[in-house]
Amino acid sequence: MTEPLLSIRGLRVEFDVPGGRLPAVGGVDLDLEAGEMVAIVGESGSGKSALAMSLVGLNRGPRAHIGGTATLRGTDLISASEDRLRTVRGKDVAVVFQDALAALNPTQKVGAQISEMLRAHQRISRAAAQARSVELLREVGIANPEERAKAYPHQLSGGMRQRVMIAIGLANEPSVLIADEPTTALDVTIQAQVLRLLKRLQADHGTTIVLITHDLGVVAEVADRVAVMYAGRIVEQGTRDQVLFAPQHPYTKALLSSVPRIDGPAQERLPAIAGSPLTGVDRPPGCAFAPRCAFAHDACTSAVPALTQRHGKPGQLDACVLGPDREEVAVP
Amino acid sequence: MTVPSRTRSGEGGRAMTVPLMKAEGLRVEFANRVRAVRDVDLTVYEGETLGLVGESGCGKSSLGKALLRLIEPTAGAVRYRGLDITGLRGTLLRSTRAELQMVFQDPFGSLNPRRKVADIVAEPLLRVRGADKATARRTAGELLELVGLGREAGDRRPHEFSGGQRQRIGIARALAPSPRFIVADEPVSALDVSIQAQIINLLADLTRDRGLTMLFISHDLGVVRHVADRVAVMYLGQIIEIAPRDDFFAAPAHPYSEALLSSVPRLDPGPARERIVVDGELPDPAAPPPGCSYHPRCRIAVDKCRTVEPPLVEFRPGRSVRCHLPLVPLENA
Repeated sequence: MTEPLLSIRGLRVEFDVPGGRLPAVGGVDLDLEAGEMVAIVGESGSGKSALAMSLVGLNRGPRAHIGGTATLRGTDLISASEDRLRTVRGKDVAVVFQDALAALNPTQKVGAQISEMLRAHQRISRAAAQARSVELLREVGIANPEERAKAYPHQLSGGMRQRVMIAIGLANEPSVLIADEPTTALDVTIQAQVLRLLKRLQADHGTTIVLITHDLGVVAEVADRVAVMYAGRIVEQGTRDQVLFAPQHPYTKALLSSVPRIDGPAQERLPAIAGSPLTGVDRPPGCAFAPRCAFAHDACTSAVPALTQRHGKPGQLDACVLGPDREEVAVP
Repeated sequence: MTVPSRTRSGEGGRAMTVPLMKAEGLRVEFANRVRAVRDVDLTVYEGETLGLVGESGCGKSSLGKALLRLIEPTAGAVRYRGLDITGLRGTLLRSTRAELQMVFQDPFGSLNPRRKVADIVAEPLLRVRGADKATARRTAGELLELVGLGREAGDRRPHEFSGGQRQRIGIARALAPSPRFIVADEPVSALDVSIQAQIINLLADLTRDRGLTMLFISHDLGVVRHVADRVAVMYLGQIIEIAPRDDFFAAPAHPYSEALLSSVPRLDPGPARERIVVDGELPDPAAPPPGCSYHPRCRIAVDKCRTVEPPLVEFRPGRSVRCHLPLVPLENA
């Protein structure tokens, strides 16, 4: 077996909030192989963004308590100093955010912002950085890149700004690109263009992409592997086909069936998941999904079920203690 | 004649052929000369849910707001039960408005954080229906039960509720003055998928049980497929297609509708599909392209499309398209 590129072990992220400590990420183990696209899927508050941001030290602070390890080529990103992280961020691990308008500097031309990222990690001349910026804009599919490089962020459309963000992310050819809801703010036709771009970059550069998303359709289009998060933990992981088309965890199943689809039989009622996710500081013992689960029984509330291979094919892990015959004991 | 084919509510026995809300040559222009809505003709029939879809900036929200006179159209008429309401003032405007309500996307931004939920829901009753305080409070309690929150919710304030619960409050408030027509503008877009399904089901139950007519505005075609009886598509301020729900999803007639449907990421097993990815972006709405507005992005545009603007034509009963080369064969004599 080859060594994973990035190995996350026992990652915990807690924030001090009024009333206690919010367990945003409650112990996550995840390995990323070089060149794959892994989707981390979950609803708001599931901890998917907190998990990703702790890999680049973007949620450190006096109110944050981050534990565990995330090892990238011998460097632990969780315990690394701020100075060390600065050399990693943008070079080895880059981030593309959902809201490109907020993430870009409004007072600086986009070409200059790409150049700046290049010169932060490479010893190249200003002119060479400028030329490379234009090349990067061309690569992410921006027409007239020489002209666009001179534009300010507000002069570009949402789709183009997201391409600029991706160009900045790619500037130093990072081994890992974290894309946090990169297409959520975009219209569906533009989303299709950006997804196609990410997939091409993965193929052409062998970039490992961590795609943070709530959209299962997006996952189905581009991801190689999927980790489903609920209330700060991974409840199921496996290949795209395993998780999306042979799901084992009741939450994954319920989530998939509640997606309004444009194909298949048109249901008059969508199967909704009752209740809402745990978001507060208090977490009852046992499976966090149990209060909303149609199959929950006593065993579910005694201890947190470990993520391990239980019901699925090799490589498919889930965190549900129920037996494979759980449908039969279901209480509607 | 435009008669929608058999629809969900129609199966209950009521034929939906009575126009309740009608836009005629409706135009909305903003100060920056952007024509958000360009001469739209659209009918919403009593008892139906019409899904209005399109990408950001296409004018769908402006159209919805103009129907309720939340923004003033610059030309054209809005006929509610036959009466042009664009010129209404005073008491008649107030009483008409009570029958026309809106559910917003952002339930937090649209609820006053300082007021108790019962007061928020009761407010339209006091203001537009002239109810007395006791009646308004009692009705508010009933509505909070109806939307699945329970009476006790009335004593709390909006911030104590989750996004999905706040949307339930927004719906209760919209229902308070007993409206007949509701514009729901992206009502589930801000919600997580498990909660979204709850709200979609709630809206479906309410429109059926109360005989409500709804214009459901959304960019999400999957959601529209689950709530709408008919679908209307907007592009650059114009309606470019109208079709019964199942016809639309099975065989869209406009190349833009086809591209929209093809762009939606699908939960299909196996390798990724070959899809029609539209190149380019929405043109500047202040300067729409000549001819067909969609021609610069269209995969089948010919010379005529670049010069002659196609009219919206009803090419078979209940199906209209604004295209010189529709993708569905015409059936008219």
